[in-house]
Amino acid sequence: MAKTKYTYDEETVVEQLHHQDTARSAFAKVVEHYTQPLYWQIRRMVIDHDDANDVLQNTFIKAWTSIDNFRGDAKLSTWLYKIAINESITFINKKKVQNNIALTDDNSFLVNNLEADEYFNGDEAQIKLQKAIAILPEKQRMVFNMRYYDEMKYEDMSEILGTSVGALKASYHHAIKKIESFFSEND
Amino acid sequence: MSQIDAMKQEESPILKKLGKEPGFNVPEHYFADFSKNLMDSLPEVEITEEVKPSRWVRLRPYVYMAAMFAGIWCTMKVFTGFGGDQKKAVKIEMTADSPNSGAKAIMQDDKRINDNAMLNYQDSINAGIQKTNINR
Repeated sequence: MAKTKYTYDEETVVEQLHHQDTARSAFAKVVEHYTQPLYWQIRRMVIDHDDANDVLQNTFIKAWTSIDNFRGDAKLSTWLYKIAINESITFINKKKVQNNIALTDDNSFLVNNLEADEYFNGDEAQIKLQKAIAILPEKQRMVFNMRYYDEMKYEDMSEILGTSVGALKASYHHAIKKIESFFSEND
Repeated sequence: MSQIDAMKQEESPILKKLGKEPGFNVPEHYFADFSKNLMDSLPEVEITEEVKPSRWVRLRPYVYMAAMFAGIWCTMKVFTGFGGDQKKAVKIEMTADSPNSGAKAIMQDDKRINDNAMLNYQDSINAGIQKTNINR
């Protein structure tokens, strides 16, 4: 089956999203364009593929049902990332409640079965890195994932997370120090 | 600090050794299938289309404001119009070159007001006399 190729121009797409007759096709372009970056962002948060799939679906459904609230004041990507991060945090908290884990505890439970995950093909060192990331506080974990894997600019992160650039740099620095000490303790 | 310096500072020997591949993968055709399945499952939503305001709606506040200032100006003109001649007279006399022209002007102005009052008083007396004569 031939795949439909979309040309993506954010300004045009945002304009089309605000008209009843073009909104759906414009949103299809948004889904096509943002599925992968959002998926990887969510996947690094929730670790499991099936969970990431659920959260990604919820993210897009939430974006679609509240598209009327998006007036183009912020970038579409910022708005979608915000929804994705909120959905991921909500999902993790729900999972913690289901597993009788205190909400204040770290997220190490997410990586307990990483070795057995069908959709993980990393080596020992990568498993160790995921374990080190999982014990970071929520904010540091998000900042580390965005900066280290996505190489996202601090200014963009600042818009998504609502934190100053200085605080984000400090968070990233602390995250790296904690990961390094995790590696040295577990050598 | 330059961007390169900042990047260097962020580098960690352990992370450098690990690389940036987290080791996650996805089922085959996952992303293509995801988009299709998602679009099929999206509910209908109603979009409130933004109505662009007409030129009159945009200009209305300014027109109202202009009308308000015009109204205030007219009201002031009506009130100042009552004593316009007297003030004019006073102003002319004040421009005279005598050193006490200001005081003189005020005195003359007071005198004129007193004369007017006297005339009014005289008129009312005359009217009273006439009224008395009619009654008789």
